[in-house]
Amino acid sequence: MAVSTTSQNEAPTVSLSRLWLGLLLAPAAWLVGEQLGYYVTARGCEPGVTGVPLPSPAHPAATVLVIEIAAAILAASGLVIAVRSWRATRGDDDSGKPAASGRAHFMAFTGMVTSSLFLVGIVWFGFPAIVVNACSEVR
Amino acid sequence: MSSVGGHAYESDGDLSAQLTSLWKAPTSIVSWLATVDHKALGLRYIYTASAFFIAGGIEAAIMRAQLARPDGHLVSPEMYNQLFTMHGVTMMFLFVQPVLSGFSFYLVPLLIGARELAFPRLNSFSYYVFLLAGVFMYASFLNGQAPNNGWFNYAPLSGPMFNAGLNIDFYALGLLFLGISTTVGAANLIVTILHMRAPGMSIDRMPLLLWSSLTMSVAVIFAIPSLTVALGMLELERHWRFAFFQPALGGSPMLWQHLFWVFGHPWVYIVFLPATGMLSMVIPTFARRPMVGHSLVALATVTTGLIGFGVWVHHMFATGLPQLSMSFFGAASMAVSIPSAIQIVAWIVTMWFGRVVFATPMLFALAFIVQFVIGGISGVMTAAVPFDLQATDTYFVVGHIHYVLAGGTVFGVLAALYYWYPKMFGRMLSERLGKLSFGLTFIGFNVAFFPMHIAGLLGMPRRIYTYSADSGWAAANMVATIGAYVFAIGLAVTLYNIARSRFAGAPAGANPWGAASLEWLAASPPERFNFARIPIVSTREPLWTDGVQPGPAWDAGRLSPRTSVLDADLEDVVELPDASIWPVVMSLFALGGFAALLVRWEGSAAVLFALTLLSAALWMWPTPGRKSTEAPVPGAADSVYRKVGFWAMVLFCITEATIFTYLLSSYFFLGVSNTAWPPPGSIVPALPKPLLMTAFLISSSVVLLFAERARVTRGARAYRIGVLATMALGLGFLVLQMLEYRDKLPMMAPSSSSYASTFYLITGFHGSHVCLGLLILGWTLIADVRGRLRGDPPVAVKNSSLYWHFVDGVWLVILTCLYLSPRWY
Repeated sequence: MAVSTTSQNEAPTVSLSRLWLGLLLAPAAWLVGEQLGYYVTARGCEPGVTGVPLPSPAHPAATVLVIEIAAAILAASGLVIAVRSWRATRGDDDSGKPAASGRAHFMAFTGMVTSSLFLVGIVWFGFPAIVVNACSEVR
Repeated sequence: MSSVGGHAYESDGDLSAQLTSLWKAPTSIVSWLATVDHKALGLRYIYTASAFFIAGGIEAAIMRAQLARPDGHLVSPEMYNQLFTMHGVTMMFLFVQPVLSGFSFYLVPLLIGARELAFPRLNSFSYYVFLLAGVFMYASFLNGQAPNNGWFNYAPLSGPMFNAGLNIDFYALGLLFLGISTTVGAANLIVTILHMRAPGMSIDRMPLLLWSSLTMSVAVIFAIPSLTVALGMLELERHWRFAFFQPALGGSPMLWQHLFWVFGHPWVYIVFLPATGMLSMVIPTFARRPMVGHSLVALATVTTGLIGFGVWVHHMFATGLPQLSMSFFGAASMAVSIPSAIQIVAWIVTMWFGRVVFATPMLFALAFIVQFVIGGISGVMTAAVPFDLQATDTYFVVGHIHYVLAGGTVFGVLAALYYWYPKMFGRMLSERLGKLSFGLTFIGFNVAFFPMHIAGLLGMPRRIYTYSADSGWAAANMVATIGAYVFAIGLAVTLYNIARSRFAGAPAGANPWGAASLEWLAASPPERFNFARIPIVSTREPLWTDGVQPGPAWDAGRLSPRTSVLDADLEDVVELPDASIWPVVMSLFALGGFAALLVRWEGSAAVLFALTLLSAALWMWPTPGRKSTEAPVPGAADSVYRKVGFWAMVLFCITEATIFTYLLSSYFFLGVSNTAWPPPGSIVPALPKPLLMTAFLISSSVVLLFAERARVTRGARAYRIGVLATMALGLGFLVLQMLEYRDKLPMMAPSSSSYASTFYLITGFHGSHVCLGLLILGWTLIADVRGRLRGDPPVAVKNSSLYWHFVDGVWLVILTCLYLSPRWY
């Protein structure tokens, strides 16, 4: 055929691993932070004798705060990586550029937005650790 | 020559004739049953799901008649329990997800410029399992024992002590059966979307419906295993007196709630995300402009799916949790509204900057937006813990879920139906009837479901059979009932429109709406092979921007391109299998197996499940393949199906790994819920046999690795000897496991405690995987000896090895958790 069916790709200016890091680091930090936070409050607030003696943090709220700060740092790192990737691929949108370049720009852009959203989400999660009485129950 | 969107796309009469002879239409009843045509099967999905929708609607109509007035006695309390349970089960499992999947199975290959799904026979199997699972569950009405414990089926009410009939068994076995269909359908869509896109359709050029279908499918892979584990435990508890949810034996009803909602909340997103994708196709077409924020909407779709896995506890706020725990899930539940808001703003801005044509699909899309926003707002309200504690188990929640799933998804489906009907049948639906239907459904829906919020705020509990006249709920209920019947009349108008237009509708043409995506390039209705020449894509809206060129014909067989995941570079040409009756036979044997379990004929069930596996082996038996001589792929692999088949096995392993993750999580959850684990009277497992079993499995993996290498360096004979040795070691593992059970069972029966139950469940489930691994290795060996395997290495060799190593890896985790960890505390 006269039409090329293989990529007309030039290599994108940003490596694939950086693009994936920018895209996935913040959501992963959010998800791990949430699951760990749930575990810490569930175990820390009911520290009785259990068959499987999983660690039971003495200060659940403080522990959650530390977890969320660590998650926020990871998410911010993802955001920085994504912003750099986005700058490096700026202009490589869909208009006449090779497929791989447009795709790299797309991943960088969505990574930047995703990281921002999940960073806000992590701060949103960490805030109750300061203002909520961690272990009181509403029944 | 056909002109589409200003672009000329050549058609070739001779080529079409040749492809028509290759892609044969069914000529007999058997071939009609056995078809693997994604369009035929997609339509069957839609028809079948619609039939279940009518059944669920009739159940709703009876319930509304019962509740229209106080002190109603139209049906008995027990019948009412069965009606609301089957209504929920039908709409959640047998209508919404399958109808959306039906659209996906029909549309995805057309949207990506492919000729078929990646696994056509799997699609056939998936459809028949769905059909038979639905029939299985509905058969419960015949003996008056339909499921009766709500669609979430909370323990311990579902246990044998409180629900001794077959009601819950129909529910559990039916959903286990259905889960197979949902899972394999999702795997099919994932591989198709990732690997079968037209050359040039890089991920940034993917239509938004593909993003939503992909997100839905990935979510299914991780969500369904949780339900599978819960249902498996429930059946073991009911049939064989295992103990997972009974506190007296160390079980916990909370385990059911966690497992169910880890599945259940993502499921809500699974069943509305594809509808949002449909809207993202409809709105740009009728706004006459590209979607604003295409990338953001794609991102929002994926993000919604991800956050959906982090909110399950918000269904459990009333169970008594620490405030900080609840704050996480309240926050996550509020956060999920952000990506949804991104989508809604993108739709509104697209309309704002466009020139909107108010055709029927667009009207349904607008109704979707209005109702979805109302449902979203009431969702954010229930994310606030204090409000949720007031609204839990009231009609407010009933109103909320219907605004999201009926006001959202059903209206999305109606928009999709009016939009794609011309493509599916080559005829237009009547606009006059469509607008009448829209008016009736929109008014009827809101009159039916908005008053439920008010009834809920007035204190009306959900799932009640009747209420007294002095409760103050009568007016809201009467209005809701009237609205429900108006809604039903509106839907009946659409049914009439469909039937009438099938023969009397105006001819549609290839692209009646002037839309931008690839499905409108094909004829209406499309040929069996979809595209005579594979399209090559260079823009996001190919039909609006001269972004599609005719590519290769590939007319030497039933061929379609396989492209790379991110950039859609052409990598290979896949030969797609023809129709086969074996998927149908396999689904029938599986139905027989589940039915035998229902009536507790365990021996018959074992035979029928063995026949199911035998059918699978015959289905997958390799046939000689052909490849196009035209394939312009330098260095293309010799093996057809090389990577798509490999990805299928990878997804299978991911699904299984997820099941084991939920099983082991349950083990530790129960361990933390008990004061001693293993509890008094149970045995800490001895180590000698498990360590010997481990040695068997590790050495079997090593032998198989060497065998794979030997196939390359020393030939097939060395490989076959290695596989035989691997199988011998696997059998040794199973013999040792039997010996361990023989020693242990007299002292610790599975029914003695939740610890014993989880121990036998996890190890036994793994043992069944070893059996399956042996069968796969044996199948590969026979196919190899018979000279049926092609490629270097053949995909079957890679897949069987991958599965075996996976099973061995899982054993190491089980050894650590079940045998070693009790020694550390």
